[in-house]
Amino acid sequence: MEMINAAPPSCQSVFGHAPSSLLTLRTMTETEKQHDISTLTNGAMSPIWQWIEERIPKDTGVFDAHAHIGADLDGRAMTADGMRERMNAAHVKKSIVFALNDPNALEDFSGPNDVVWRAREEHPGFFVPFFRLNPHKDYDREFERCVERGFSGLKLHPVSQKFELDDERAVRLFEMAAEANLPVIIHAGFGMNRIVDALLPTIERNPELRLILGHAAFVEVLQAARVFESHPNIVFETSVARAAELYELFATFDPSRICFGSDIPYGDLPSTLYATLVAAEAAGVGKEHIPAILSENMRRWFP
Amino acid sequence: MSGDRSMSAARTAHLLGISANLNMATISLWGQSPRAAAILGMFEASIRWEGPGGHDEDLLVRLRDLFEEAKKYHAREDFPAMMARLRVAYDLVSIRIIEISGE
Ligand SMILES: [Zn+2]
Repeated sequence: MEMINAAPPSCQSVFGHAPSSLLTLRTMTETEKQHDISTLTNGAMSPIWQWIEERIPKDTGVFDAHAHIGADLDGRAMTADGMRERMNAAHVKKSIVFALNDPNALEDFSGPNDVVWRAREEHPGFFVPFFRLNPHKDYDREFERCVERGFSGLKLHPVSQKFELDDERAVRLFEMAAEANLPVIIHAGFGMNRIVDALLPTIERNPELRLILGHAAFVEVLQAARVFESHPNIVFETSVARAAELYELFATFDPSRICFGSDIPYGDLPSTLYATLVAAEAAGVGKEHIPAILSENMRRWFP
Repeated sequence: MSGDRSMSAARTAHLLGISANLNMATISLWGQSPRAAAILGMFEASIRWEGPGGHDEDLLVRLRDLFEEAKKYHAREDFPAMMARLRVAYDLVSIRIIEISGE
């Protein structure tokens, strides 16, 4: 999601060097807290988590279509190991991962893209790596390098990288991705204004382009559902959209083109799974469609 | 309005207020607003008492539980654990409003 100036308060313990008798009093460090992921499913979350688990079919390995590895300008970070731990705890078998708005992105995101690639190498079979680019910068070399390396898709973030989806440099990237048969996930969530009108001409010109609308294009979700219905290569990804917006989507759109995402570390698996499942159920989406939404729809593209 | 209709409308109005306060609180936490604690307090007040006819007490109990823990994690600066609870609370309210509207 990457909200500007939205860092959580700094959590470094001021008692880091306290004598051991005081250790029980010190606050947890950021690392310790990030490590304790049971806080996402215990206490008042446990009936919610139980409700979720009852709805994940036994043999469905959940596919998370939106997750970040690396570091962000706003202070957030996620390691490959941290991601695996969260996946294990929530029945997630595979995740599309890409960089955050990394302070070390420099011109072309090559450093953060390398971090994502390393995660894929170190955890074979668990991560589907996408590379991230900045349309304002010289991106041809990094595009080529990542395609040759075997990245599975491209991530673009119009808010963080400050461009419109019909900016000619972005359109050129969409066309290069279509040409390379590479799916693109775009941030179509917090901070967005123009999504549908800005994308439509590119989609009409490149019907083969496979596009994942991150955060379900929630600010324009109904119009996106109407306009993109006749474009089978456009899918909606649900991360951190709210249940009410997801209800609008599930009530009007083909569930075989809706896929679950978490947006870790901005979102978390329990609350995003809840929003997706509760919205689908309220909108009357049949149980038989749940494995598709949680997994199979994305596995068609990334077996 | 008939009795049922006006009860549904009153419940919806009550829940919309809760939803608005929670939304404000969440945004202020994301943006580290100096008013975050005060806005969390507004949300807390809005879930403290019974709603119209007591029909949504099951929901309010859940919201109070989630909020108590969110407050605890806020104090501990555990942002993900706090935010998970506030997100779920927000969605619980939304889904209830949607359900009432379809009755
Ligand atoms: Zn994201």
